[in-house]
Amino acid sequence: MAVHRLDREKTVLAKQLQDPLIMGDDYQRRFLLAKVLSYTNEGEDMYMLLPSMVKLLAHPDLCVKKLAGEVLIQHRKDTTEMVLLAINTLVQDAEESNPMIRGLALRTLSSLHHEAVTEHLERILVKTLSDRSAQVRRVAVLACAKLYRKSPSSVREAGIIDILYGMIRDPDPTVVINCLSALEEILKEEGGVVINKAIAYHLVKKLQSFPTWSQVQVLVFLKKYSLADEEEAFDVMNATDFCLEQNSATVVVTCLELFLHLLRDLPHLHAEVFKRSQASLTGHLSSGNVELIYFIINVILGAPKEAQANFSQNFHSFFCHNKDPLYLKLKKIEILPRLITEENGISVLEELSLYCVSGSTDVSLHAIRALGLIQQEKLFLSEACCKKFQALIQSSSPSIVSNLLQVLQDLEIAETTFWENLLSPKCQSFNTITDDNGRAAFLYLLGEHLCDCEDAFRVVEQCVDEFDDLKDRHVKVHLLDAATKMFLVHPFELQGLLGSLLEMAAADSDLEVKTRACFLYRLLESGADTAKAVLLNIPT
Amino acid sequence: MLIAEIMIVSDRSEVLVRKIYRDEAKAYNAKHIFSSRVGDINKGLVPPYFAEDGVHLYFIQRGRLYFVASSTSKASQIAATEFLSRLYYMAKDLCGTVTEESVRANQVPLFEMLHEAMDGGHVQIVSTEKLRPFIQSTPVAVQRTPSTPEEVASRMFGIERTSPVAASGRSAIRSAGDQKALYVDVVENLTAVTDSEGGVVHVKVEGTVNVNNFLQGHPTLKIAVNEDLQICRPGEVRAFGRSAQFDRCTFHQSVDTGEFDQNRILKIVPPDGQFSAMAYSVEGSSVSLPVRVLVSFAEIENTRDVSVKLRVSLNVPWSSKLVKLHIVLPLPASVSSVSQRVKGLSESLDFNKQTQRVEWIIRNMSNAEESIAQLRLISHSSQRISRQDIGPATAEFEVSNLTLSGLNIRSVKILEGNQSSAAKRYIRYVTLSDSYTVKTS
Repeated sequence: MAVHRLDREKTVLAKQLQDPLIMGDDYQRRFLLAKVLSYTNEGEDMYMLLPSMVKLLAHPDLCVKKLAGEVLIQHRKDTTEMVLLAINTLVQDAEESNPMIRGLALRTLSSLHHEAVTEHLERILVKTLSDRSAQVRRVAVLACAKLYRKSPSSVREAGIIDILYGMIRDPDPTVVINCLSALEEILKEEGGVVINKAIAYHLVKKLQSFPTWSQVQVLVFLKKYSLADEEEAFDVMNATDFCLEQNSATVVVTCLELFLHLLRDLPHLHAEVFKRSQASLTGHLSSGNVELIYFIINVILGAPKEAQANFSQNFHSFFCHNKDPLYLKLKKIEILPRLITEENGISVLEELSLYCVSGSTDVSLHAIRALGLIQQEKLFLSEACCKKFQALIQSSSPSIVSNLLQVLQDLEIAETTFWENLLSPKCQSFNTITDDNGRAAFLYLLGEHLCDCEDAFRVVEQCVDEFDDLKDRHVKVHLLDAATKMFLVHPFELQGLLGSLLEMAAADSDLEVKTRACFLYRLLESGADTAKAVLLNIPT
Repeated sequence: MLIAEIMIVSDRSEVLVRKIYRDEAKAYNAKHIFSSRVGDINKGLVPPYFAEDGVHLYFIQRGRLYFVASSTSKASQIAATEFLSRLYYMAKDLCGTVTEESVRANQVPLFEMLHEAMDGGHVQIVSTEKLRPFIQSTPVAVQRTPSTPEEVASRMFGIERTSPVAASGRSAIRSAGDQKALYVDVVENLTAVTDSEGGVVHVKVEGTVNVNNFLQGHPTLKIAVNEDLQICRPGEVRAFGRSAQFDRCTFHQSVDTGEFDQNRILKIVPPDGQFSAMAYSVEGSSVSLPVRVLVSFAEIENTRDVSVKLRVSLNVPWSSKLVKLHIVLPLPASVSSVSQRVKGLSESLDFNKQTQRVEWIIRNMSNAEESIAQLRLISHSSQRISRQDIGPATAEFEVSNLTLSGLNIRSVKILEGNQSSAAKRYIRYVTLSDSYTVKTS
């Protein structure tokens, strides 16, 4: 059905392409061709329309030439015949007096990648590489790389590589960059374009006069220059360091990368380089371009620790905005703990605790994790963090509590009162922890920190009663551990309970639960002291 | 950086415009990779660069459209992102606005743009100015009803973050024969966190002066801003007083700041289309908040219910106007329904059970007015409503004709040769909330 409709559509298109009324109108003609192109791009076979496309290559409308050429390029593999027919027109166009037409014809011709084109292209290229129009030279230089992909020998034999090296001194910046890019592609197997001293110095000298995007490319290529000595590295840096303060983030970051490369043997200077680029990097954080901000934070995250400290004074710029996409919020939460100093610590902590109660579970989890990290690493804030944990555990949102418990699992906090205050009230409302990750974490924490509490026994008791309904492996394993640990501390109260739990677990269908139960059973058999040594870390 | 293919894609992963630069692009299906993850991408779960099966994808989201680049070799992420952003700006200069509708109508010029922006996967053109001679087709402006200032403003609301002012839905390229005009828009984005009593925890204003240039030739512009403007060097103590003070200020490369230090005049040789001539930021106490949101709680005796009072007041000069205010208050799951009483202006106030939040919309409020919403949060379950689980509240708003930094444009002169031109010029101010959070505990 669909196929038929498409065939009909093609017939209609073919008819329209012949219709003088449509083809006589600029707008309709172009629109029609755009339609053909979009079918082509979707992978439809437009073979029957190709003769019209070839004909249209000779149309005076440049836009039509562009579109028809593109359709032909996409279909070139299916038809040698049509390509041969097109060559004539294109070769003629390449001689036109209008440089726009010359450039376009050359671009279409080189993109055809066809054997039949090779010899024509080689001849035209040698001529157009010295064309008086910069636009034509730009196209011609890149066409060399395209020709090379189809026929490496003709590029080498025509001496094009040398011509390209010579053209690095072209007055047009885009031609210069295209030369470097083309040589990089052509010489890929020999390690790409060779930047010798003369080229490097020429590029450095020209750098300031180049437009932004060309500057980026020059900075990338300068990485390939092998320096004579350390002194030369500093010369290059002195000449290019204005790029660290440019408006474009790409220029700044590329320059940064170049400097880090030049200073690869002097790592103690890396922080200084980041410091130089700090102002322009933080400037972009308020650009509103969320994707760019994301990558800039990535760059800062990759900086050495002492360099990150430079960004601390702008810590406000790293705060989440309500409308930030999730990936950006998580990235900002990742970097915030690293920007903490004694002065801004409390502000950052307050901001992070706002995120902890965020509507998004991911944001909340990452923010609580960040608090956990701060608690462990920044001593002067560890008490403040513990207070935040106390407040969070009272939340009525199951997901926040569950997130908190999962984070607490990995924290080492020696104070027993902290754990008692945090965990024992929660024992009574154990049923409000609804998800398995949270329950598993809670049971783990009970075993670690709360073996002395009646309420904790109740929780274990309840879980044992509901053992058959438990689905999650981790909940079961942590339950086993917790019950055993409690038993070691209070054998009388828990003996019966543990007995029935081990029995049920040993018959469990999950191998891991089964193994754990058997392991614990054997451990208990080998004596209370050994078990205590293993599980509670009490030396015998 | 070798890019194999660029696409403009809708949020339903429909490809609107596509250009293949290198043969590698035919060996994989970037559209397929993108559309298989478009659900997560729409939700903001996927970072703007990801790789799958050896294909590297870079994308930016603008409104409901995506600009997507793909390649088989890894490119610099920042370079790819900035290149795509430039493409977006060029598309915007070309079509006036970049929406699905306008992209569909402008497939041909946009294809031409992509065709010229790169050759063989190498970047060639990234500015509207250089692009102009290569665009043969005529962009179509998607028709809209004539826009009043409010309308222009309401269109900005929440649609585009980067440059919210769609000064006019006109194409910079097409304007050659059109009427000459110049738009100068001062857009300020406010980021603030306050406590429940309105006390400021953190406040920051980020502003840009956007110039939309539809003038012919390249006349020089002179934009004069208030003379008492100060730019503080880091560590410098701020002076008190009414003058505008910036913490940071950067200029577009076309701006000559020779006269700025002395007379606060920006001399600009403007490129075509839209650009931001100046970007600045102000942080800290000198900023007074235009909208205040206060939240207070009270337990209701003998019940599990909690009463919440939201007070909103506007504190702006008479000449400014609040276009729209949207307040969101998230509630804990234990709240099963909400009863309400509203005093003052209000368009709608609803409790959305699905998202579990109260959403309050107010329009057209003027200075010194106040609206109060008295909410009773009702719990049918056995659980108590815990106060610390309410909020934090967020507010989204837009105030026209207001700058928080105090920046003021004294005059805009257009110099053609030595004469000043009579071309029309429009100056507009708008303040948007980028992120406004009211803590509730």
